[in-house]
Amino acid sequence: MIEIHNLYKKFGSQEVLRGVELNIERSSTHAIIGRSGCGKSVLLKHIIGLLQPDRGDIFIGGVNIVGIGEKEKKDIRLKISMVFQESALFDFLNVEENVGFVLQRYFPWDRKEIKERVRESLEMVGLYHIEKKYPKELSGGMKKRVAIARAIAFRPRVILYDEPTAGIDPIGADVINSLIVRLHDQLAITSVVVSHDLENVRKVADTISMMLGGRIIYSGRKDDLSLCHDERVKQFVSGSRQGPISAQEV
Amino acid sequence: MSRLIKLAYYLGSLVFLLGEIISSFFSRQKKNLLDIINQMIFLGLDSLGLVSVVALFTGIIIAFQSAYQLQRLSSEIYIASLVVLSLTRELGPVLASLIVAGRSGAAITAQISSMKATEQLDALKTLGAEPVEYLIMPRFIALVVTLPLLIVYADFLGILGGYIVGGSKFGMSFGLYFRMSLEALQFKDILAGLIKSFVFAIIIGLISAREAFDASGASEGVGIAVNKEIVRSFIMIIIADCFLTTLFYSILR
Ligand SMILES: Nc1ncnc2c1ncn2[C@@H]1O[C@H](COP(=O)(O)OP(=O)(O)OP(=O)(O)O)[C@@H](O)[C@H]1O
Ligand SMILES: [Mg+2]
Repeated sequence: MIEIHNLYKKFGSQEVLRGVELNIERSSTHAIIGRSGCGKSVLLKHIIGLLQPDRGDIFIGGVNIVGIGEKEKKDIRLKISMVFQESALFDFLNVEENVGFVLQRYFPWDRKEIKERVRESLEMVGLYHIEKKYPKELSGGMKKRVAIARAIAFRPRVILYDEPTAGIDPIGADVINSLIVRLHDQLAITSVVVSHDLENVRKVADTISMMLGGRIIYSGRKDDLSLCHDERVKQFVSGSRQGPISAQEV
Repeated sequence: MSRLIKLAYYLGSLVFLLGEIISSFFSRQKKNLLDIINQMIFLGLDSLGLVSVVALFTGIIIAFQSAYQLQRLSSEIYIASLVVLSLTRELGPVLASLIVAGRSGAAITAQISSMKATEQLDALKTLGAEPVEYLIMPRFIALVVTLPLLIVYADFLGILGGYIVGGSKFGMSFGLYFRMSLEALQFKDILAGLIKSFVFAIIIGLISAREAFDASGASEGVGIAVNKEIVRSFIMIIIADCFLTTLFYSILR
């Protein structure tokens, strides 16, 4: 579904991506783990077309999205959606307008149909009767779920989750985890989950990749992760400050 | 030299932004007239109070200052003409624009740069809405419509301030004062004031958007962006005023 070849990105003199190779299969839930600041969010922003790479290719459903025009980009974007690290709900719109944003702009639907789909999407994330609330009236966990509802409202084929469980209590995190699994099963969505939290990632992913130094250094099925012999992967999995990855390096 | 290049780059990026705003106005997805009207009310009201106070007192101050000079020539009667000319030509447009840059323009920069810091601008793009079309264009149009109105309003309040002095100090009747004001005023002065207000509105709209987009994307970037917006708008407004005054009252006489 998503194939990334030889992807490079620099910000000023800081090389964040240094030849990323990654293959994400259709209808899989693929987790990308790595230390804070290693470039996971930057990678996701490349997949959804918010950032342009310096070099390399990104194929989505066989189409290379690097260097395509704005018009084509828009079409691709409506096939992919992203749940941002800080939810990124529009603070001047209420929950209903947030969730229905794309439907209202791009779907030839009337108000009733949009309302119905918004309600349905909120129900999927376990939220009821909060359509008229504004983001500032919601807790962090609820915001995250509204953000997920907004991301699934237009039924994209791929959802990118940026740190879906960060900053949420363990029970809330488990609710989000089960949600990711359920949405994947119900809608046959391809999910990409970026996180530094291995414990939560293990609950949702079927494939896990590890990012380090701007590259993907490991990619494999979830159960194979503990069998991996790469010392760097072992260190991350065991969560030790001693090993080949120095504590300062990102 | 590199400063000059930076300045040229900055001005170029403003022109480019103006092009984007204009083209997004004509290619917009849905009629967001309601959005524009909301912004007009919001941005207009934001500056209204301060504009009222400043305009009224400026009128009073100019009247006092000119009265002092005119008394020596025994021609206090011309106080009305002096007040109205300084207001419509210069002080009305400049003061109101500075206030709008400091309040409404700063509000635009604050809102949009904090949207950037919370990834809302990225979220907009991923949901198929361009920030320029969705956020900037309605605010820009609202400014271009509201600022001239605010300036006309400021001119009137200033004249009223002048009348307070003319009436209380020299016993001029309101009718006389108003007639003297209108007589002094030429069509050209009104036109010059309006053209200035359009240009200043464009400057505020462009700079407030540019600074918001250029903000660092961290939360402390909001304050820095607002600060830059105010300083740069002030400088550009004053420089533009100087050019326009030269143009209207020296070259196109
Ligand atoms: N737009 C940008 N301009 C400049 N530098 C950037 C930009 N975006 C990201 N970076 C830099 O790229 C590096 C990677 O950032 P990124 O946000 O991808 O990290 P991350 O892996 O998502 O970390 P975290 O787990 O903390 O979210 C950071 O050092 C950051 O400073
Ligand atoms: Mg991140």
